Amino acid sequence: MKRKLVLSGSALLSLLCVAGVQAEEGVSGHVEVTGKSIDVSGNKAKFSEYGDADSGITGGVEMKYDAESGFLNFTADEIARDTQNFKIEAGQYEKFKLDAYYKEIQHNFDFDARSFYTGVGTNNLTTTATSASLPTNAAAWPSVFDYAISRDQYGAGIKLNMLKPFFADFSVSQEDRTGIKAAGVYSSVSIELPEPVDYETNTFKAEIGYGEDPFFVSMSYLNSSFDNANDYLYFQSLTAANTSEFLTLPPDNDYSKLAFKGRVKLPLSSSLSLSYGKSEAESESNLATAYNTAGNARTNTLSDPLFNGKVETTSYNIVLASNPLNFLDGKVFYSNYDKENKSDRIISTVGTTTFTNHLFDYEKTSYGVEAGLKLPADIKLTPYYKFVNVERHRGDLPETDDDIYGIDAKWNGLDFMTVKAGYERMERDSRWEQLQLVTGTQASADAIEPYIRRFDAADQDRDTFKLGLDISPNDRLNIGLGYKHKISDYTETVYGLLEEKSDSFNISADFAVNNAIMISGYADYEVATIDQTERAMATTVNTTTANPVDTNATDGNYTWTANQKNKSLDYGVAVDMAVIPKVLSLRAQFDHVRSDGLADFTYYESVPAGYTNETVDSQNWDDYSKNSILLKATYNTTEKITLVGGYAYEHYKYNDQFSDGYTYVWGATTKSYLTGAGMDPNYNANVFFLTAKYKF
Amino acid sequence: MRNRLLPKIVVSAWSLAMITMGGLGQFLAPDVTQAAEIAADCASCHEQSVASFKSSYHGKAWKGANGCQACHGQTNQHLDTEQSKKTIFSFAKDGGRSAKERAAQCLSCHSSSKHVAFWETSKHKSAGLSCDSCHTGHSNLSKNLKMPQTELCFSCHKDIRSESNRQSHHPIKEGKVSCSDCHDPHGGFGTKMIKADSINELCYNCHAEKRGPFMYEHPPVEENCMTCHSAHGSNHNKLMAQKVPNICQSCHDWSRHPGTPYTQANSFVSSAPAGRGGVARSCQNCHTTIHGSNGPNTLGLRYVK
Repeated sequence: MKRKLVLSGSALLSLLCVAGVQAEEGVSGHVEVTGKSIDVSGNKAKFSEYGDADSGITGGVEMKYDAESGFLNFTADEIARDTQNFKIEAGQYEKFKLDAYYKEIQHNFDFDARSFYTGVGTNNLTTTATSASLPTNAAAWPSVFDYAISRDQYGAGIKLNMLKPFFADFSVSQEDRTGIKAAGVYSSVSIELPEPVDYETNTFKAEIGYGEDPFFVSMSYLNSSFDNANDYLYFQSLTAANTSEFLTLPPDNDYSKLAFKGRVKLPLSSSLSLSYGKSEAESESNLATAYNTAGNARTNTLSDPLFNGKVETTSYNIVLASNPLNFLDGKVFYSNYDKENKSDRIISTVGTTTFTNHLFDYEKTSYGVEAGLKLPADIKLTPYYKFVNVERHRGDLPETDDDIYGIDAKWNGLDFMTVKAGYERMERDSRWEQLQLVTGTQASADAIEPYIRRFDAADQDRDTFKLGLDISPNDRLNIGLGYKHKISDYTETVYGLLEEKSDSFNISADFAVNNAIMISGYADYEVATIDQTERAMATTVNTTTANPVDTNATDGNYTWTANQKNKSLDYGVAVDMAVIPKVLSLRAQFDHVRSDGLADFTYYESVPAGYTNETVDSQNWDDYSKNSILLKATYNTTEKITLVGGYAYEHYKYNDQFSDGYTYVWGATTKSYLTGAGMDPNYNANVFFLTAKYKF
Repeated sequence: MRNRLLPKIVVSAWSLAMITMGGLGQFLAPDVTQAAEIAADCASCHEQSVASFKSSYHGKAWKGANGCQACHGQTNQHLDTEQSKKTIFSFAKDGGRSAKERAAQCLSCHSSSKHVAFWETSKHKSAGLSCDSCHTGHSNLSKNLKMPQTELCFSCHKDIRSESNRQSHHPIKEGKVSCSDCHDPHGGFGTKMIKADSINELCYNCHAEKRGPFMYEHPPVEENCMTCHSAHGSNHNKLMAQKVPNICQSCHDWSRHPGTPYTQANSFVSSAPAGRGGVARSCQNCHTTIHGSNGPNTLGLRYVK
């Protein structure tokens, strides 16, 4: 709060200083006060996911000051709420600008979550519960808390252009992130834990450059320092000994980047653009040589108890753009991004198990060409080709080559209509290698891995079609239509993701019935499907049992498929009416969004007892619907005073296989202890609001 | 050690700099000419346009030093003989000027600006857009935009509008994140015009805790956040591109629970529930540190601790 007052006070002081010096000049803006009455039944956190769900009074200010010597703008909104913003800018157009801001972003997940641990919000969770006295009655658990995270951001900057063609920008910012989020661990039972979030990130940016045709060059530097106040989240296990265990939390890190960008204009309406960047991220963590897990004490022999993380990236890009002829607009580019992992390789030994951490890095190279061709009858065709190669330090799919080619077409032969169409095909060729396990039974991997392709780097053919139409037959009517079809076929995959497909339709329109009434609306519909085939197997696998055409499927060794389907729909309509022009206007708005999901499972053996392949399907697969209504009246009582009043209603309903019938303690022999994260997001909300605004 | 002094230093330095610059500004004020006379001629027919220009950023910045001709060209023919849009430089759809010509008109002043220095590399330029597709010299909105930014971008990117309406989304429509926080509509070197050399580099700007570097890394996480997440919005929690556990099982197959189907038979309401993967946060009921871990031994390797 003190920081907020310092920032606001300083901003206002600055405002008064300049206003005092330039008192002869005008100040314009407005001040507003808003009262909100909010009534929520159900999940208040989901209703106000990025907002403040409490009733109350808030305010806003906008002040603009323009004078011969410069300008000064001050804005504030949602004052005293969890989402408040303050921003002040001052300077001279084309000479310099100073700015400072304070901004709050709230992210609410779930309110009134429960835990049998005490110390929630700290990094030390304690309990007296043990396997002999398991905490089964959630209503009696001692801790009730909110899953929510607040980001308080503030910063300042200066932009200098007074020495044109040279320029310089500098800024500093800080973000404090605090709150609680859900985590989970396994310690003979599965336990959901409230993880404390207490992060601070400081960022400094600087850029200096020169911009005068035909040249533009700039050098920039960025430093970002992340600090987590907690290295570990300690919690007591539910075992007989009630031992203390820990979950590791994100380590502090320092990141810096130095970058160069440049452009030179060349003859024949051409330009050459270049960039080069080099960054470095570092972390340092003390590793545990002794720890408890599931109530058992373990010692972990490490080659070095201190882990030094270090990742360097180098990137460069070259783009030659040219418009040598009136009908030809081309581009050729080459880029390279190299991520090199120089972190420590640590040898861990527990008992007879010894392994070394695997460090991941990759290099991505791409190049391509694009040619925009203007044809008669206002047709423009833009064919393009792009090649992307990724070499990654990864066992199964160490290299991929993507051939991407397509064409975009645009026709705007009529003043009132534009038609766009596009097609793109990507063919991904992957190099597969037998995965070498860090730990585990290599023979099993040798048997099954030849059939598995992980979708992020698997061989793939992808086709995308797009169609768009914008029509404005007159000044009163605008219509936009869009369609997109996308299909990805994972051509070499036997186990894994086989196909992804989506078809989406979009429309938006606005129509001015007359000078007093405007109607606008939109609608979007998408059907998306994902097909996957997987193999459930016992721990040890051999070449016979891993074979997908194996006819000896058993309860412990069988193929299953999941065909997911999601139908998404959203639409809205709004009517704006000037009842008394420039005096009284009304707005009525309705929005609806929904998704209907289905996961169609098929077991090729081992259907669970009591189920068939028909009844085992998941009918509730992130199903939800939200209806929102807004009614608003704006009344300009005088030239300077405006009153805005209204009512908003929102209803949200969610059903999902993973949360329907939620219980805090779950499972017959193997327990899961939950805290209520994502338990029941349903809500109904009614909001009344009234704003009084004074313009000056 | 946290630097709690930083905000105070910043605020104090900012205030001092502003007062100093306010004084300096007296010596840097631009010369004002009488271009307003010509604007008055224009206002006789285009009263509303001239009024909006005067209250626009352009109008304020120029302080009368430039008039309508600065953008619309010489007006003699337009005033004297023919009122056709084609006798001036018009930005209207039926003004007879190509996108390239309209962009060139703006770039005649702005081409040295760092914001548009790489316009030639832009996908928007390739798509035939020009500056006036999004901006107007008569605007008094931030960045001279024709309408608020999110609304403006969604007017073309309707599929993104749809995604941002979904139940899990970045706070775009709530006004806390804007398109230009991540994308540079004027072009650059990043894929999808993002303001970074890689997607992960962009995401780490706000999610610095994911940056690591970790001892145990999750390769697809380290290569591309978008392998698992859909940045604009999703039907599935945490912006997941597919639902957990199926997205995890797309890669983690066979042995024990990674290869086990989690169906209606494993849910809270099933007749014979079994398996932790079938309820609540599924795989993440136990595997929390999936973005990377420094946990001990195989517990870290498997992102359990």
